[in-house]
Parts: sequence; C-alpha cells; structure tokens
Amino acid sequence: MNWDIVWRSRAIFWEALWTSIQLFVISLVLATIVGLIFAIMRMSRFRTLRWLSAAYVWVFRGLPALVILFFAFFWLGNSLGWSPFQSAILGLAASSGAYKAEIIRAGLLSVDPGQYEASEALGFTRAHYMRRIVIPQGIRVMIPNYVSNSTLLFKSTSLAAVIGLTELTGRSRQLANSTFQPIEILTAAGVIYLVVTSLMTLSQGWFERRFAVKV
Amino acid sequence: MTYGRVTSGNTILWRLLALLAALSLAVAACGDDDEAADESTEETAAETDAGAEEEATDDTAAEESEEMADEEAESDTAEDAGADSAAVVVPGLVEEGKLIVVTTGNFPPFTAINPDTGDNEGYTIDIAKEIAARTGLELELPTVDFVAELEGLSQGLYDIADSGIWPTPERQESFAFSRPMTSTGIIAQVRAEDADSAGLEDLTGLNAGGIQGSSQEAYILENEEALGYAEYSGFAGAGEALTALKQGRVDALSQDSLVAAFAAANDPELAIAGPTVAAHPLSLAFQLEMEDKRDAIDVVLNEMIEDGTLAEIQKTWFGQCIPVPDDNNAVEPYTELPAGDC
Repeated sequence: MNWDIVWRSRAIFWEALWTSIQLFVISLVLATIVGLIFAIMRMSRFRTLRWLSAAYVWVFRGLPALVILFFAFFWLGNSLGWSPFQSAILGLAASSGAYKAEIIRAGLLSVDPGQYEASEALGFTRAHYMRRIVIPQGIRVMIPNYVSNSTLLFKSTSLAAVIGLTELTGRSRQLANSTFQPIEILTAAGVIYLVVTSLMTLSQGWFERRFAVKV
Repeated sequence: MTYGRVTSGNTILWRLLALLAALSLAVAACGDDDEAADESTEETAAETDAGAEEEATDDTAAEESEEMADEEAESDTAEDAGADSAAVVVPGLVEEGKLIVVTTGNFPPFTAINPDTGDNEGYTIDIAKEIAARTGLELELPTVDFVAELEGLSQGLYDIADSGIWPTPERQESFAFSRPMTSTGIIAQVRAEDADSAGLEDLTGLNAGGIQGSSQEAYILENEEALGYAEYSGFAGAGEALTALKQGRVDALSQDSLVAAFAAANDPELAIAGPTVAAHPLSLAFQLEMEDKRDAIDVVLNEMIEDGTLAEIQKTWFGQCIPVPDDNNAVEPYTELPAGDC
C-alpha cells in the first residue's frame, strides 16, 4: 500500500468532486420539479395526463440510468448539440424524476381523503386544501424516501463518466489505471462518497425535525 | 381528487405497451434519416465539445488552455523560423482552428493522468501535441471510456481518436486509420519471480487474466485450447488486472507489449515473460468518411518519422525506439520486443 498517491492527487480529487456535486445539485433540482409535475399529473382528473405520467414513470424507472445517459448524450444530446455536462444533467434528472414522481405521489396519497370532505365542509378551495392540508402532511412521509433516493442520485452521477465527464468515479478510474494503484485511489474515492452521503443522511434528521408535527 | 381512478394500473400498462409498439413501428419507418442527422452533427458537435471543456473540470480546462497557449506561442515561433510543415491544412475539422483529439486517459504509457498535475500525458498525447503544433491548431484533449471514444468518433464529436488503437480489419470497416504510429504486440505480464516462465507459449494450468473488451483479451479467448490455461478473468482496467496479478489471483495477463514493458519497468514486482505474439501496428482513428483529414495528418506523421521526432517521443515513453511499419496491413514488424536503436 502506498497512500502517498492519494495525497499527491488531492487536487484532482477535489476538482472531480466539484464536478460530481454540480451534476448532483442541478439534476436533483430538476428531478424534483419533474417529479412534482408528474406526480400531480398522475392524480389529475384528465385521463391523458394520467397516462402521460404513467408512461414517463414506466419508461424512466424501467431503464437503467446508464442507458438513459447514453441516449441523452449520443442520441438526443447529439441532435440538439448538448455538451456532455448538459446531457448528463438531462439523463440523471429524467431517471431520478421518475422515482421522485412516485415518492411525491405516495406522500400526497398518504393523506386520508376524508380530510378533503372535511375541508370542503369548511369552505376550503381545492388549491387551499392542497397547500394547507395535503402538502404539509405528505412531506413528512416523503422525506425518508426522498433523501434515500437523492443519495442514490449522488452515487449515480458516477455514470456520467461513460459520456466523458471526469467526475469523481471517472477520474478515479483514470487515475487508478494511470498509476496502477486502484486500491488506494478507489478507497479514497469511496471515503469521499461516504462523507458526502453521510452529510445527506444527517440532513434527513434536520428535515424531519423541521416538518415534524409540533404539539 | 380522483384517487380512485389511479388504481386502474393494469389497463394503463396494456395501453402503454400498445402505444410503445406503435411508436417503435413509427421509429422504424423513419429510420433512414441518418444523413439528415449527420448534417446537423457537423454543426452541433462543435458546440458540444466546446461546452464539454468549459463545463467538465474548470480548473483542468484552464490549465490545459494555458498550456495550449504556451504551445501556440511555440508553434508561432516555429512558423516564423520558417518551419516547412505549417503548409499542411487539415480539412473537415469538427471546430475551426481546433484539433479535438479524444483519448481514454487510462492506458499508460499511451495516455494517462499524471497524479501530481492532473494532465493527460503519454506517447499518443505527445504525438497529438506535435501534430497540433505543426498544423497551427489549438489542441483539445477530452477523455472518455474506450467504447464512448469510438462511438463519439463515428458521430463526429472528435477529430481523432488516439489512445493506441489497433486497426484490425473489422475496425477498418468502421473507421479511417492513419499510417501506423508505432507497432506493438501481445505479451504475458507476470510476477517478477515468474520472469522465466513460457508466457504466451504455454499457460497450462495457470489462471490467466486480461482487460475486458481489449484485443489482448480477444486473443487469449480465441486461443484457449492452444494455450491451455485453467481459467480466464477479465478486469475492468490495467490497474485492477495488475493488482490481481500481484495478489496471485491470476498468474499471467495477456497484455499489450508496450504497456507490459512499461509496467515492469515501473514496478519491481512485475515482469514480462515469453515471446511477443500477434505483432501489429497502432494508428490514429478517424471518422470513416474523413479520409481527407486522415491524409493531411498522414503527411504530418510521415514528417515526424523522417525528421526523427517520432523516434524521440518513443524513447521518452518506451525507453527505446521501435520499428514502425508503413502500412496498417503490413506483415508483422517483429516477433519479440525489439531492443536497441532503430
């Protein structure tokens, strides 16, 4: 074992981690928006919207993220002139959005429909009912799944290496093969991933307290 | 809220399947749009790569462009001094004024990431730098996986794929290749204590290994009976394969001769054993219809061979100069790792 190599390469690790974090944050925001839109579509009273939403979830939850990324870069991205970074964001957001849609829908469905009748009796509008009654209760149910899925998304950013982004995993693989020291390099990458995902797990506790029922 | 209606999932799924079947028919019907797609590729690919450099790793990109600026300066002075090769004009560039050379960054001594600087360095990189300097083009060096390298090349995202590619007859059907820029072969990489073993002449009872998807793997799998090894394991990259070898998980790797010699020279635990087999050239790959671009680069490569630049680059990375055949389909230039000067 020669751990010196990890210290020598520290600047390369930081740079690669920064790429991973950018990929993660942007695709998480997009995936959440996409997920919210499709979750609401899935509960619409219009059949076409429900179908569209079901089709989206069916396709993008069913395809491996790697395959989606490949399509996003070589097929769609190539026709639209998108960079690897833009294609990776699109692919990751599309893939993760399908899960987010189901997580958000499950959260919203967890609120007892009886409360709708109660709110109607109190003269709430439908929008008011969603905003003041369903979402505050639903969010508590969503948090654990949402954070787990986001952790998964962070790890999925490693797939962007196949389309030429030198994020943490891709760069580590290059370094491992360039230095012939895969154990040291990949262990270091593993520790970095664990630190970031640990921070995300800690944030789960914070969100749960933030949205807890205050008696 | 229409919670009740959401549960008709089965019907929805069946209708979706029908929709997908209809869609795939539609796609098949308009599958001949390749030419139209290619036209748009020409325009968009340039943007794509420019974006890649900007976005991928800001700092590296900055460093690289600094380097390129330096190099440009050098090439300018070379032009002023009346260097003759500035006359070569490279047609069909993906982006005007730029030479985009894609490599994998994971195949030392051809292309590898320097752990101290993060720069992509190696034999093929030095060749790319020399070509860029001699043609007055700005060099861009994106790195991708080998599969994506060839796929991106055929889609017109890059000018040249340059990670030490063996122009096999099958690959010559899909890509245009430059004249050879070195020759190499396949040799057994072993632990230092097995340096006297028969290598790829006889692997009877040994556990063999290699890199997944490599031509060296193809060789050992095709010759399984003749070699007589007990088991074969394919690894994701040279780093993993060499680690498994040192740990005793495999006894011999089917390796590129130059990579194996480089690894042995840099690691006292490693050695090479037995003869070099399947000697072959390595060339630069171009999109199939880009013969004009290939011909222009060939002029530069020939110059580099004539004035001894290529031999110098070989000495830097291989520790020796290696005979280069004139033609990709020429007979094997050597059967053992050559020694001494050319």
